[in-house]
Amino acid sequence: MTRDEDPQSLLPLSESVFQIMLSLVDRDRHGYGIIKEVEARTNGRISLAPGTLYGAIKRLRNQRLIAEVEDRVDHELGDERRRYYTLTGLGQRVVGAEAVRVADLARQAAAKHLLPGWPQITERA
Amino acid sequence: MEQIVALSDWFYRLILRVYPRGFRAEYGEEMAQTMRDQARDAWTQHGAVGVAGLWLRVIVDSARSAFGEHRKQGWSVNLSWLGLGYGLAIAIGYLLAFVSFIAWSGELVGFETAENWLLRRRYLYPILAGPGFVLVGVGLREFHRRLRVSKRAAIQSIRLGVGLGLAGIAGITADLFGSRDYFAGFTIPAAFILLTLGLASMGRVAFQMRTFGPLSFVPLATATSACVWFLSLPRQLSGGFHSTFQTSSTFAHITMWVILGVLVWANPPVYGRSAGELEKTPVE
Repeated sequence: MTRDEDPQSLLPLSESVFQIMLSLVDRDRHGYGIIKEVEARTNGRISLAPGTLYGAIKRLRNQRLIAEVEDRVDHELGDERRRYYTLTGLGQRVVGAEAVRVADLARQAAAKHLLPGWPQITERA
Repeated sequence: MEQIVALSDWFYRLILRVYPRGFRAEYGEEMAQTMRDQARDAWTQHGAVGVAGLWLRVIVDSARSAFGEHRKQGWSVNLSWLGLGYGLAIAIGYLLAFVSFIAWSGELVGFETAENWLLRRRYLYPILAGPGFVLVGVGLREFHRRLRVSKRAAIQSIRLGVGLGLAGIAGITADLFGSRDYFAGFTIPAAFILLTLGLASMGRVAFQMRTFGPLSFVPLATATSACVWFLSLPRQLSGGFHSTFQTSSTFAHITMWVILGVLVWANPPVYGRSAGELEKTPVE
């Protein structure tokens, strides 16, 4: 595995990048689909604007973490064709590694009683 | 609703111009499409307030992300000491010429001859304006030397510079011989119009060449002359806009800032070759 393909070398991810990648874990989405999914999942806390979104998409494509799949129509949004994005294999590994890293941080915080109501996890899940 | 979305789309396409060309070519259409979707949603859910909120967010986001994209492409403002020297020359030159002009047309902008120290010493006008035009000329000459490969722009600038010098000298000469109302009244404002057009032309080439380095006198000179003009604005306003001199001077300056503003807007990226590299491998 080259350095470029080592997920750890690409961590940590910024929150918006992590959220964008997370939105692509279960299905391919177009730009607006990503925005809606992130917004819904974070209860509106993160609302991406086009500049941030496409800046991140460009970087993720350059790093081969996501790829363009096809142009197709999203019938819920009208007749316009939209470009869809998907996670690559490397992208899947990177977002997974980031999730583990974040969970590990949460575990450490819980061990210090910083997360009320969280179980005292002593080992990484 | 569709009108609001269409208007929002039109504005957003204008904003997209602040992004680097490559980025815009790759993602501009998708970004506009996404923005249309967001505007439509915001209007449906929250009406005008929703669209206003969206726009507030988008403007901040666009400024931040466009700056980031330019920076990633090697955006730099690379001031060189030599360029700064020529910048100071043209800025000081413009300042001197401008002060002379304001003093010369003093009665028309609210000065009282008897109370104004400068107006009572009319021999100072050419003493101020002469070196001013020389310094501006030095800046124009250096501009031509550095951008000699950009022939069309350089020729344009030299033409403007020569015209400026001639008009200025003619105007001052006429003023000294007392025929200001008929001859100098036309030539001196013409000189300032030419000067501002010359500066605008330099700015245009500077942006086209994607550099501020050796041409750092361009923003410096324009910023300085802007400051001078705005500082003199209350005086100018107190004299009204009825005089030919005042109107032409005001028109020249406003035109200059509009032209430069449009050029900045149309050519936002200042990246690519550094100042030094540009001098070694100039680009047509």
